[in-house]
Amino acid sequence: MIEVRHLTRTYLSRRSPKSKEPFVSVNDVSFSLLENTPYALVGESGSGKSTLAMMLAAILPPTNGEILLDGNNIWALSPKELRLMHGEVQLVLQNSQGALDPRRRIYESIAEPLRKLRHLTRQEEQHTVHDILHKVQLQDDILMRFPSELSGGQQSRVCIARAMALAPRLVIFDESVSGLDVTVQKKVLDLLLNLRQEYQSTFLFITHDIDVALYMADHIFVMKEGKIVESITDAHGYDDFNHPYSRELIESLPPKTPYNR
Amino acid sequence: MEPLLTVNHLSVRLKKKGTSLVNDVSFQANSGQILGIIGESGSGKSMTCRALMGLLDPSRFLISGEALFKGQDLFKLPSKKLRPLRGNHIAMIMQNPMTAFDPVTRIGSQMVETLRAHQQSSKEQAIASITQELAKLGLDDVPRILNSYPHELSGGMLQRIMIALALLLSPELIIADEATTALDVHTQAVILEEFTAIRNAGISMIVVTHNFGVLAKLADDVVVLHDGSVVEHGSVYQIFDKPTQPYTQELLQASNLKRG
Amino acid sequence: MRNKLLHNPQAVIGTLLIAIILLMGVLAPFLAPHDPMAVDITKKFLEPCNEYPFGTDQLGRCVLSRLLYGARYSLGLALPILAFLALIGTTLGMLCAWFGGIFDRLMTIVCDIFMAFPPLVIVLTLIGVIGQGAVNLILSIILSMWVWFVKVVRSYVLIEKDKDYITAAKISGCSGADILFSHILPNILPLLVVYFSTGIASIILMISGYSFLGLGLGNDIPEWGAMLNSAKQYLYSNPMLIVYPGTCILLTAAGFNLFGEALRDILSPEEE
Repeated sequence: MIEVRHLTRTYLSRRSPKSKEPFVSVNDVSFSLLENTPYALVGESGSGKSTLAMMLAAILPPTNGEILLDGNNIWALSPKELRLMHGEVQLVLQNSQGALDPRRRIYESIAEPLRKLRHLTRQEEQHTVHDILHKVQLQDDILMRFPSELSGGQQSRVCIARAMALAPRLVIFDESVSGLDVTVQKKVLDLLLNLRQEYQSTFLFITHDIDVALYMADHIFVMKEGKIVESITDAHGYDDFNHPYSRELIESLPPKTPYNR
Repeated sequence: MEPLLTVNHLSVRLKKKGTSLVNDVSFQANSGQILGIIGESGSGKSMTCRALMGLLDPSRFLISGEALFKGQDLFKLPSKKLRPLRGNHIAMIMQNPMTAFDPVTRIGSQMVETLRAHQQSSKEQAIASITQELAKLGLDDVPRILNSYPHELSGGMLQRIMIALALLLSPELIIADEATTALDVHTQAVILEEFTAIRNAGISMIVVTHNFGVLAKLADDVVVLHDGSVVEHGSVYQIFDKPTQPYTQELLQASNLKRG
Repeated sequence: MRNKLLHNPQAVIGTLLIAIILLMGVLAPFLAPHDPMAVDITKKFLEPCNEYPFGTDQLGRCVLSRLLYGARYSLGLALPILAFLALIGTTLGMLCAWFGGIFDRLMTIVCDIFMAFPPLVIVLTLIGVIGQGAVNLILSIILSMWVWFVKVVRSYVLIEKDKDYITAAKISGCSGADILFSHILPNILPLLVVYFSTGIASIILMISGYSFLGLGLGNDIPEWGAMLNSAKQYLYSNPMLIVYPGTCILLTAAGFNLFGEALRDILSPEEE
């Protein structure tokens, strides 16, 4: 469905603006994602994973390389076509409170993408919003509230609802659960697994947490310093990782029980 | 096993609204051991530590109960006596090392200043012992670090500097509040090793975290907090093998993601 | 919000002052005991009495009536100036911040050039070229102040533009105009209201200041600054002629400043 070829993004270094050497955030990355499949991408902070997410979601233009959606380079599209493409490719950000307009009620936030990208009647729109709200296990009463009145878990569900209401073909989750408490995180992850089955979407789950990656997908990419260093198609446990960097990451994890300190 | 710090019926409330943040919490930290306190946001774990360190503004918070450190109640000590106790006997390592340092003063002078505020030593002596301690923690190029401003160093490095500073004061108890949360896994692993070494050197610790892995690695005893109250209190093996409370079970399960 | 305003003493005093000045201006024809322009040399420098509660000035005009009508001039000039400044500032500031690039850089240079000159210099030059009068005064004050408004709006938009909900809005399929008008503008509006309400205080001071310097309206017009100007010769003989308009200017400026600052305190996030 989506194919990424030699994707590169560089920034002019902020620390030393005098140096002409640009900082390479994403470095010659190529991969392809199939329809209706879960993927995960593991990377630490500074690995370029968020930059990659922004390029895939057509928010940030790449410096080099191309992103092909059904064979068409999305960065060759007109601004209007690019905007409409968000009906098919969605991104869920890490900071869910920040991702919601503080002066809008939740209903407006969830309905906005539907209004901009789908042509629905009022009734259809209301129906879709209520439907997705129930699917993310939220109650109707939050629709009239403001983001600051919601808990972190609720905000995160609202952001998921906003993306999924469009029934997109590809959803990129950029550390979407990492700020949540573990018990809430587990519930949200389980919810996402169900939603993916139901909508038959492709999910790209970007995270720093190998356990979360293994929980969400079989196909896992490992990213380090802008490059994808390992791509495992059938990952079921720590043993499936082979690249030295992946091994290092796994060995740095704290133990699961006090018996193997 | 002799308790170093015994907390009895600690409650913290907001003065204005009367909201209870910590509710009748009791536990003890044994000498030479690591006590782990685990909880999610709103569990009261940070409030508990801050109450112990005397960091809560008495005009806003109402603290009741007692915290006996070697027989002295920390909540009853006059601030004159409490101040030398903090740092010299009880040290604290915070979650965000970036904000714990003064951004416009070089690391070296901050360390020397802190050290000399607690100990009688010349500037040269202080620098010598700082250099030695940082080297022990595996930081090379100490002169460069001492000459840097906080923003020039990584979070992991600052956290290690904070630990070095805490150790230099040779305290009997170190309270670490989410000390590895903001760090990446590599740095976390390094810091956790250091905590193990600290424990092996006979210093007691209270490690506050939301991560069961950290406790699996470090803790001797574990206190599970939820909504400001103690849910379960036992040895780390008890908690991991036979958690009796549904909340502990849920927390363990959620921390240990398994498919199917 | 309304509750918070009522519980903030600054806001209450500010609102009261503004309301009094507004009422003075609106009701001037009903409240004023005399025609503010009526000259009667025989009654010059009268002490306050029943007929002339605040006395008369050097031309025998009723000071109270002139003060009441003065509110009309101060607000009547300041409000349209503010409206224009707000319009220019918001439009250009939003465009600069949103599009960036060459347009923004050119605009920044223009702003910096204008900001390098004190407003007084700009106004002096303009009045010198185009002459005195209400419209010319409005024009020159706008010209001397518009860059400040552009800069402020631009900086607010720049801060807002980097927030996550703007990224989220882009992903939701919003166009640039959607984002500017239905996301950024509503979010910076409270900040703008604060800036504008303190801005109106400085505009009122400017109008009076320029009139005092003889750059604004003529001395016959009952404008507070102009009244100050003509009264300054009688500082020692009739000091009250200076005190009355001075107090009016002070209270008006204070009213808007208090209100604006209280608004800022209320709108800024509370420390919890």
